[in-house]
Amino acid sequence: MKGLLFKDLYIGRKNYIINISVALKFIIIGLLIRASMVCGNLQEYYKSLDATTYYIFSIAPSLLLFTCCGNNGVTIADIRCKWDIFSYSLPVSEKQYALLKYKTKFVFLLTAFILSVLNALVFAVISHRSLSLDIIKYILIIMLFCTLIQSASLPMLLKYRNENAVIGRMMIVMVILEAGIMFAAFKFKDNFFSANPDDQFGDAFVEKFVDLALNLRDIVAIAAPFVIIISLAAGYFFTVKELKRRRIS
Amino acid sequence: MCDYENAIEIDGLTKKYDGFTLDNISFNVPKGSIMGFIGQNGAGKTTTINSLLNIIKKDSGTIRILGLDNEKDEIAIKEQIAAVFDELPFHDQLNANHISIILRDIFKEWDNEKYFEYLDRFALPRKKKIGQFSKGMKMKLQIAAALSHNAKLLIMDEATTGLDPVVRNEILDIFLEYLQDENHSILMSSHITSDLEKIADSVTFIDKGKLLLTGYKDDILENHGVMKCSVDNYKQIDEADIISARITDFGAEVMVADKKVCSQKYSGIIMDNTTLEEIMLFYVNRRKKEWH
Repeated sequence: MKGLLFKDLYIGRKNYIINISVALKFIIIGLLIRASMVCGNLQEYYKSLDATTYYIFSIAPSLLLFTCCGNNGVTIADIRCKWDIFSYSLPVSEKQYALLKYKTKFVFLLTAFILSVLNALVFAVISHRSLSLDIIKYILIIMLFCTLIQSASLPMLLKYRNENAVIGRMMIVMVILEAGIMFAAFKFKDNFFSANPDDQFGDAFVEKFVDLALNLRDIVAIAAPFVIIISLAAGYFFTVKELKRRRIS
Repeated sequence: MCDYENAIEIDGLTKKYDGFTLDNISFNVPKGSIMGFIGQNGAGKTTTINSLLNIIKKDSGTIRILGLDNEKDEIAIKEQIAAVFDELPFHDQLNANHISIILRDIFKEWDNEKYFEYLDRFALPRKKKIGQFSKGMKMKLQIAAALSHNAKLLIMDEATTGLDPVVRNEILDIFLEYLQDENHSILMSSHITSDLEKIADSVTFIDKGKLLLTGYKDDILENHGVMKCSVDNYKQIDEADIISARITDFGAEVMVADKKVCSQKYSGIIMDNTTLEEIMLFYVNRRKKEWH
């Protein structure tokens, strides 16, 4: 199936090039800012900016790199030119088609992860720090959310044949999730202040909340590799199911 | 590879949609021949072809292609067939070279040399984006790709629609060349009956999901005729002999299914030979009996 892989990479090349270019620019900007902080006009802000810039420029490029791995534009292009119909006349089964898509996604995600960790390592070295495990955890969490979205988007695109319909449905899910998180956060706050009415300035609350958030982060980061594999597998399963369902309708 | 008599065998094919049913279609495409698949827009030609290619699942019936079951042996069949659609299903950003890269890994018997020979023969540029091709060039590219992996069966769905007569003629000549090999067969759906009259060995008419006629083209043309008479004479013709009649200000044109018998029965009436287009028109209007 190298031919089909070539097609996907060629059709999606603009998206890959743009995202990688923006990620590279971000990395270069980060390096320039860091250099300026060490021996340039940002030296006086070294202490105040150090932690912030370290975290931002270690993590942000990974978001762009993981976004590369999706490229729903290829599927949309297939639908527009009716390649998806033509592909049914080729000696390629639904399973082979879906396997190619998800294998490619997995390789891209893994590559993006490695590049993100390398970026974080380089940034740590030039910041005279050791590579923080926290950074790796954040990168894993970004990878997890990107994988969940990308695994779900392909079968949804095949079903609705319209990117806006997929985005709309995903946004509804995100709004519901966010509402749930906000509700849980407010509930936590109310419960805390009910139990600790003396905490007038909220210092203890913030400490407790940050503790909880960091514990949650750690749990999600540990679960991330497993959830990533499961979501890719589920995406493959539902893609095959959708390709077969389209033949019946 | 199993031996087979018919490249395509369709028996009792039925597919139901809301508002349309492909109803019990049965016909065969003998090996080494071209079958013209004729019907007006919405008759069910594309639905039949999509069922053949397993693009849609049939509700009932059996389909055998090159002696194999079209569902159980789908991958093996698709190695040996090529489908050509009315629109080029390749991305505009690709060029002819890219098509070769894509398809050579998909088809085991892909012949790159043959593909580029066809490109040269059709004067198709190798590096120009497909999006900049004319409609005729796109169709030639599709055909070049279809003929480059030793396909034993070509399935064409309205492939010559929208092409100018020169390009259509060129394409028809290529099909005749393709059929020099007696193991090759073509199923060609079209509503341009003049093309099929030129090259088809057999034809199948379909209308509103139902099979009207199937058989050798020459037999169908030989058996059918159009009687031209006055309206008064038309009223004396037995209804059982009439497929349908076109009534004009100048008289009546009556299509009959048995030209020989009707020539003798209505000896005073002029009997003309007919064309596939006329057969299609008269059969499509058969329910009305009289039309204008």
